[in-house]
Amino acid sequence: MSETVTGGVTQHDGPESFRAQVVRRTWARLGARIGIAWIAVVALCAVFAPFLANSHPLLMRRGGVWSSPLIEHLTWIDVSLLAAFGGLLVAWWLRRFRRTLPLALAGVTLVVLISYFGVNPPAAVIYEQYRTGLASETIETAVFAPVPFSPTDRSRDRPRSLTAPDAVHLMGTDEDGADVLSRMIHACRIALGIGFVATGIALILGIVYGGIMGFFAGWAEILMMRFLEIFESVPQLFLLLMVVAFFGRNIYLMMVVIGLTSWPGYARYLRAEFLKLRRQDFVQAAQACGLPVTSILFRHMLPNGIAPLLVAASFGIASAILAEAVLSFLGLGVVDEPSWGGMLNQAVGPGGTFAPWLASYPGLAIFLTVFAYNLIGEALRDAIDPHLSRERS
Amino acid sequence: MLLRVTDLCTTFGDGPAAVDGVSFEIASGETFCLVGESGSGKSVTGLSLLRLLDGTTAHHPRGAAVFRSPRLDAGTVDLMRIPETEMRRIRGSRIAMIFQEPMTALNPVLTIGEQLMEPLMLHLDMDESRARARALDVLEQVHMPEPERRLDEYPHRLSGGQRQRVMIAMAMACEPDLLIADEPTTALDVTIQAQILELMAELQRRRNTALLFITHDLSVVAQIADRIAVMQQGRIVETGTRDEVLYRPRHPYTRALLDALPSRMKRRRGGHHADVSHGGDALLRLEKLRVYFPVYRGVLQRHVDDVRAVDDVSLDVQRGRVLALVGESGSGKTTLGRAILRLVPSTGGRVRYAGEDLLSLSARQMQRYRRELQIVFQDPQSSLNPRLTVATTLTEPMAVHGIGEDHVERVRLAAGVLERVGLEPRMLDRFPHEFSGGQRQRIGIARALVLNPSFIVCDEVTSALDVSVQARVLGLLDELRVEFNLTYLFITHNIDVVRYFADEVAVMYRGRVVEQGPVDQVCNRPEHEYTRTLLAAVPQFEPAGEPG
Amino acid sequence: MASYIIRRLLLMLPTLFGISVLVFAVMALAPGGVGASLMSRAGDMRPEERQAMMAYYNARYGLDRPMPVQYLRWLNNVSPIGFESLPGGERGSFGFKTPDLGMSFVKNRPVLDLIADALPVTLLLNALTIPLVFVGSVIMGVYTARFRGQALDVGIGTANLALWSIPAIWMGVLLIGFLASEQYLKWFPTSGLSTLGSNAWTFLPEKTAEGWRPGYLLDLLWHLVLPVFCLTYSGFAFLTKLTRASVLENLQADYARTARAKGLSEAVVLWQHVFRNSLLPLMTVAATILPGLLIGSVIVESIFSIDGMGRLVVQAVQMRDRETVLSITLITGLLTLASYLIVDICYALADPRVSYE
Repeated sequence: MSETVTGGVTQHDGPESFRAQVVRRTWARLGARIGIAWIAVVALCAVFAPFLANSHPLLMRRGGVWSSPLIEHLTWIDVSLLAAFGGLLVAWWLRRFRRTLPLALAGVTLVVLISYFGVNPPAAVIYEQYRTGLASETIETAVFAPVPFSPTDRSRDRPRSLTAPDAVHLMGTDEDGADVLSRMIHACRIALGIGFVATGIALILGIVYGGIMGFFAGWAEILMMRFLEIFESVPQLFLLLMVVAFFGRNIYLMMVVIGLTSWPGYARYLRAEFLKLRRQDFVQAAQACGLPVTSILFRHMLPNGIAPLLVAASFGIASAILAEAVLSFLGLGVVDEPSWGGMLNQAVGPGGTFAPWLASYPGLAIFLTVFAYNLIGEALRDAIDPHLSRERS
Repeated sequence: MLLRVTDLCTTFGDGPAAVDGVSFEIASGETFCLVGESGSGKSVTGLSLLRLLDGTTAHHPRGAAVFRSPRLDAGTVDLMRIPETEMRRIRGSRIAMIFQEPMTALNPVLTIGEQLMEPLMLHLDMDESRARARALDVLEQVHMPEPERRLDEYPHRLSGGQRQRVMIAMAMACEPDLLIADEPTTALDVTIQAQILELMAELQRRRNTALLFITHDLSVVAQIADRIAVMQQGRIVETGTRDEVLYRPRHPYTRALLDALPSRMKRRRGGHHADVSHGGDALLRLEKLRVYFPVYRGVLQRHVDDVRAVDDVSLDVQRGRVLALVGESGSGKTTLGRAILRLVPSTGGRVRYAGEDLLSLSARQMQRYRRELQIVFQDPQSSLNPRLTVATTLTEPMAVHGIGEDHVERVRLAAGVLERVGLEPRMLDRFPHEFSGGQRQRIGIARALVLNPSFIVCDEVTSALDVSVQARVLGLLDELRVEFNLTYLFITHNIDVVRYFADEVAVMYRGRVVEQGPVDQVCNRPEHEYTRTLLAAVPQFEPAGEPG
Repeated sequence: MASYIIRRLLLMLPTLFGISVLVFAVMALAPGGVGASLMSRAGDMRPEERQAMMAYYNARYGLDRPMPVQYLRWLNNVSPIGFESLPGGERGSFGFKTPDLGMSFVKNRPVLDLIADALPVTLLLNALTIPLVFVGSVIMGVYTARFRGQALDVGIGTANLALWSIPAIWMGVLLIGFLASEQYLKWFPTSGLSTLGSNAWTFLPEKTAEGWRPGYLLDLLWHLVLPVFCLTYSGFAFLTKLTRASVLENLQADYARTARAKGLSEAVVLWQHVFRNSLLPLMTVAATILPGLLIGSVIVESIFSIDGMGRLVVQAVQMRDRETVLSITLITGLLTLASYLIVDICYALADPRVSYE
């Protein structure tokens, strides 16, 4: 609406919305920039994992016929991630036009649906065929991804379990003989996915629940508080362990459970914020003007109360990633999918043998990701902190 | 001279000088007042003298403060030059300081006694039992009720006035030569302020202590000062004796400050007073309005008692007039204002607006009256949504009440209102944090005005503003009242503003209205005991009159 | 205060009840319901064992009954107040009784016994960790608060954040790998809390024919170094950061200025005035640290093969030993609630402004 009012005033050096302020101040922190850069690296690895590490050649000529087994073996998840990434890029490019985001979202959803039903990679996979084929020259030419091993490629043609890093396996191999670097790259998906989905679920639940508690006082609030306390008093890891024990190991279920167990914090935060805001003069003024409850809630209270929640969410993503890593480390993670925590578990063998490459790389990856989110959270908190802005003015 | 300050400068970081070449002198036993509006550097000057500013950011590039005391080993020292260890021997013993906020100035986890005994044991080398005896003695001197028991209590159990007494006791314990008081009564109610001022004067007389009194309140200055310095933007613009500065001001800024005093301004209502007959057309009538807040106690949280914030209040507000609601903090005046607009639920009674009982209406029926009754708040910091532009803040209520054809027209209307309250229309797309306190208060008034109300509750609208800004906002409110035929319920604690602005006044005390009537009658011939106490406590300053 | 504590204790009851419903619901919602998840391990049992287990569960839950009845039956068994269950499924008199946490078929022992064995170990770990974390971080926090300035603030803050972000699983693996394993330094034992045969040793070190023998105590401490470090460092970093921020904020407070105006030296201002006030926010955080330590002991006990509650629960989950999982979840819930209450009471004792009326 500002376009209609602005007239001659230029937008750049004029008013700065709170959001723009927070973004600017966050970005000003070196730590936040490093954190965001690392998350970007992890995200790119997650999206392009099949093109970065794959046993299937990107291009191959067998018997004079060119083919791309890599593309043929893409799963619906691979395709969806690529589509989502593309959609995001397009939306960013066209950000000046309104309604590009809903359109991009719709497009991505469509691709996901189509790929879920339409993409059917061959079920049985024999990774060795390319290497043996090349050796026996049944395959004339093959172009591989930078890391020519799939995360589940156990190199059955020449089993090499727990070898230290060398020229073939840059980060060594694990117990099963799979390439560690390849598994590291593919594990980005679980780390990133679990963080976002679990925290997203927790945020939505927390906002709805906390908002209701903070806005409507009385008996409802007291009862809701008790219910919240129940969720708070069962340590998250124990509930996770229970669910894994009774429902089996399923990554989606784990996302949901981590989400379902971390919302009470957000709800508590928002409730406290709302209780504070309800007494603020501008909310009273909104009531005095007869503004509808939806406007008071979503326009006047939520935007003012949500900032600390985003800080908490940033730390929440870090702890969701940690929770998954711990589960995998305890040997209760997802079977067969590569996960940093699971790889770390193999570093110390039952006989006391120690594989430093299995300890260093996955551990470092978990650490960096957790650290990155914590850095971002910290910078966000400082950007939002009213103490700071008071000092400035 | 006890203290001679020459060319004192204080800077924070790389910013401009907060105190910029200030010079003044204080003789022993005299009361020297440093007067100025917020941001003038008066508090920084006081803190600089004791070097209490944060050393990592504050610097004193030049200046001297020569302090001479017979009870100092060196006799004469420059406070800006001596090493920190020597400075510490002066702080609290030769020069003491008290601060504005009694609520936060005392350590919450130490008892009153512990805090009082500290300077005694430090500077006078007393042992614990002697220090305790002396602390008790000082508490008695500041007229603290039940001093024996207070020694072992924590600060949160005391009222604001009592805490300020403790602060004074602490400062006077070592019998300093100079007491720096930084707005010591600003956070206090007027009756408490009178007591504290009296106490300070008494102690000062007895010990011949010099007093550097830092304040924004010229009425207080008129009451206590021997000499006055007026500060503006880090500089002293005028120094002189009380009578010179207050009655024969030379600097234009001093004159402007004096002219902005409500007691100095011309009574706003001219012949208007006679226009409306008494008891005729009451726009708003409160009948036995009660607002109780329940108190729950015990294992089962049983309802044991009520806090009676508003207790059986009956009032009439005539159309087109200003009813001032006066009272000290906690008297229930703010709650009353909000109860009228149904922002807090009432326990009983009636609020009749143009004959209709607002309390009995459903939320939907009430909606119509939301346009009619509006409110302007005290704190300009929190009264505007920091996330919304001025345009959105102003147009959203219009849209809800169907004012204006479309968004473009509403923005045009909002621009008009903004112009009317003295702001520029191009400020519409700015955010609240880009405005000063006075400007924000104008936006708050504009928000109330866009709905074309007839009745506005003004809740301490000028309390957080400097006196010159206050004068302009009051002037604006008066113009608007005439122009739009508005009726105000003007809630305030400031009697001078009431005299200037109101037609009628109601005095609230502990949730009840103890006296009401025309301003002249209540202010000049008060009937109720409390009203008399209240009026007597107000520092009298009539600049127009002759020096006394 | 007393009435506040009573009220809080009463409010714990519905919460505990809720936890039990939640825990039971997770089980009941599992694919196939309570029965299926019970029998999932039955496949590799001998027929008579299987028979015994079926009979046990039938008696305990009444598997043929509807879900709410199953729940109530189980609740009656685990609660310390309820109907006594007599042999033959009869219902006895109502009153206090010993809670029956059930039988672990995996370990073939009552769950209560398992917990009685494991709980002291975990408590020992935490009893060492909690004081270390709090004392260490307070000292470190106050110490680092002395260094101020833009670059130092960022540097110290980031260092603490980094230390806090190191996952315990990684730290544990690195410690074992480099300091304890055969391949590297081998300074510390890799697992357990005692050397094999050490219970035959004397408590304190003694000199024997073959030279010095470390004795039971020293041996235990030697085993505890790495696990306790692993439990400590993250809470330490977190609280150090918090203490520092709190001290810095309080040094700017009005009352600190008052203290300086009295002529007190900076050291006195810090220790007499600022210190106690700075610790108050730490107490609220303590409530969130305690459950964190429970989770931490799951990780640490698994890494260092220490037979405490954490390892017990992981084994139980891996073996699908449901009675054990249920009981431990309930007990940790109870412990968490109790620690919240203790923290609140401590807060009221430390801060004269807080009184629970």
